[in-house]
Amino acid sequence: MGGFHTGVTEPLSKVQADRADAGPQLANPGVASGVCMSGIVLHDIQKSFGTTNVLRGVSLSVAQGEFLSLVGPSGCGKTTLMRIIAGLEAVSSGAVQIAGRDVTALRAADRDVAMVFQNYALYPHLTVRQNIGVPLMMRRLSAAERVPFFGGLLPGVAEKQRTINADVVNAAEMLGIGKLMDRKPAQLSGGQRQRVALGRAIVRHPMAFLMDEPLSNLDAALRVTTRSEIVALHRRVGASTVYVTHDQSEAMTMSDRVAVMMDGLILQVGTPEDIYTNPQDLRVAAFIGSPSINMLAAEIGLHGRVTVGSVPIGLGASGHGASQHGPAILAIRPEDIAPHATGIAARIEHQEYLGESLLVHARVLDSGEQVICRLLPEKRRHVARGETVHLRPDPAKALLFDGDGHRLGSRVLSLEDAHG
Amino acid sequence: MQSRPLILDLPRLALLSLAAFVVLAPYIWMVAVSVKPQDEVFKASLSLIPQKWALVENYGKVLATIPVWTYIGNGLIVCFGILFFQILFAVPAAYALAKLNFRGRELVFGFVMLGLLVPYQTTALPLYLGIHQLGLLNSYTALIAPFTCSVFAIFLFRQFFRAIPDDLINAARIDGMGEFSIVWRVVLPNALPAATAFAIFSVVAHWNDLFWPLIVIQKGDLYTPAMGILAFRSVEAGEDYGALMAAALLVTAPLVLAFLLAQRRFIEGITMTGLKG
Repeated sequence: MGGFHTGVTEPLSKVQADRADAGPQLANPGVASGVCMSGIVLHDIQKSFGTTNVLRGVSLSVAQGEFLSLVGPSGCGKTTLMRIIAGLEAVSSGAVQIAGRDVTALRAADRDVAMVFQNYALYPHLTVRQNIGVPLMMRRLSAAERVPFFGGLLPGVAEKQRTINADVVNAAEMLGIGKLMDRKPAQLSGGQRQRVALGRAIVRHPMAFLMDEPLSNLDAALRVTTRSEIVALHRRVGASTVYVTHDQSEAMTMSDRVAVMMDGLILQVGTPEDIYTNPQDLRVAAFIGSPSINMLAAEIGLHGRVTVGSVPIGLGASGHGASQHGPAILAIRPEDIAPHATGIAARIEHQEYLGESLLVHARVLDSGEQVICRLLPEKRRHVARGETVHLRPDPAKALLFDGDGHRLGSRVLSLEDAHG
Repeated sequence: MQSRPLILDLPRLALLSLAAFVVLAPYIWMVAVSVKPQDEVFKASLSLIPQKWALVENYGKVLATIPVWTYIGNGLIVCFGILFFQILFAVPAAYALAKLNFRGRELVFGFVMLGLLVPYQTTALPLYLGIHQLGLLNSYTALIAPFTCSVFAIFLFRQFFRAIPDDLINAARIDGMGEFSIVWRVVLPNALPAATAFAIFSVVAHWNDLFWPLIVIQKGDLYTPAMGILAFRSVEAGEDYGALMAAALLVTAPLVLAFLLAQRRFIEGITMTGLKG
């Protein structure tokens, strides 16, 4: 992971001091273009289809060699953004730079990017060897040299074809499909087709890799192993990679950084840890994490003191948020809220034993809001269905958002503060 | 699938055989007549095998009186010339109509549909006048040029190309192909069943066409096979049916052979299942 970060939303207020290590310095993404000459830089990309604005001003930089995931619900514009980077879709406005070169007006063929498609898009009529060789053939041979049969008679073509074949074999060996070279795609399993698609992408050492949900057609077990293989492959090849997925676990496990997209905008870009622990937008907090983050209606009172259903929780709004009296939203991860001697009264409705943890579903008595707590499995004996417990969110981990879903700064209050 | 006992298939087989026989009977009769001597042709008996073989006389007479090989050669030049240009023009056009987005695409496709409704006999007179003005009567060009743009081919290929996934074409673009490379290297190879089916339709139609060659050709050495039979019939007073059938058999033989060789692909193309699997 390079020390290079960009974020999209400037936090409304500075995050509390004891969390200073969690958040990277957020910078305006547009500024980054000068810094990373060799990656991918998107500047204020807008795209509309008719009257529908699919992308509403997306700026993003991907450093050289970085693995960045674009994650978001379906219809958020992530695939359109990837197609724009690839050159398969024209922008309505904005600019795309790859390796320091403005490619906004270039065709896909001239951009030097490789793409792995969701359904692999292998050429059905060509063998594995020919499939992987196509990008090299199109780039290394002239139009005359590519003419079937006769092209092979031109001087130097045999030599070029030998080097192409050697490169194809190398790529195939790297992916473990060396034995399948003379099969057609129809004779391959899903996992093998996927590898051929990867081979076709890596064989020409492109400036950038684009992957559009490449794992979604694989079965669950294969998906997990292929994840780590793609990461390993990325390390070996070292090209900037943009990986589109709707599966947050893929995004979190594979990426150097994750960009969360919604409604045609990038809401936040950061390391997986940063996105998880320090979301700047309630929608990001809600999208990332499984089970999803608990959201409780809260109130910011005098001196910024935060209460949930008039129960103080040891959290104070800080900075800009301190002066914002009124309703707010407290978001807390399931693992950061647990039954305690005092806290928010809730009734346990249901529990799920997952082996390594226990998920307790409870309903807050006052508001009827649903809360999920992730507890150690040993706690199973202590929580019974129908029982009323007091839930205490960990104030050091609690996240505070205003009514519009923007993040507010917060700080842990000492006990005296909380009750004084 | 489990194989059914033969007895259950028998009614179906019988019905299909009967239908096949009805369709094939004239051809079989033609083969039989082509080896019979003149006096046996009009006998009341329905025997297929001749009592006295006249194979050598009948075929020898055909080969001696008309240049059959020239006619068949002309047929091949004309049919494959037409087919070559039809594919050359229709495949890129169909690709554009199926896969590219441009203003007026639907309008252009509407014209293609409209073109399907016009029978070619209605355009024959203006085409004849045009070819006459250009001084191209009695030439291969006159036989080939009017058929080089086939709206039927555009329509057929367009329907077939729409089934090709967009991502396959996008992958080709990313791999560095231009649109024409995509058409010839990716789209056409994946539409081979449709191309074969169209090729058979086209070749059969133009091999057997008599209407247009009669209009533009007067010189004997440019006769197509169908015209050749006609010429043979008028040269050799129409009564020698044995020889006439021999001539007909000779000029239809290339078609029958071609169909038998391409039969499987032909069926695939008609049922449009070529791209699966």
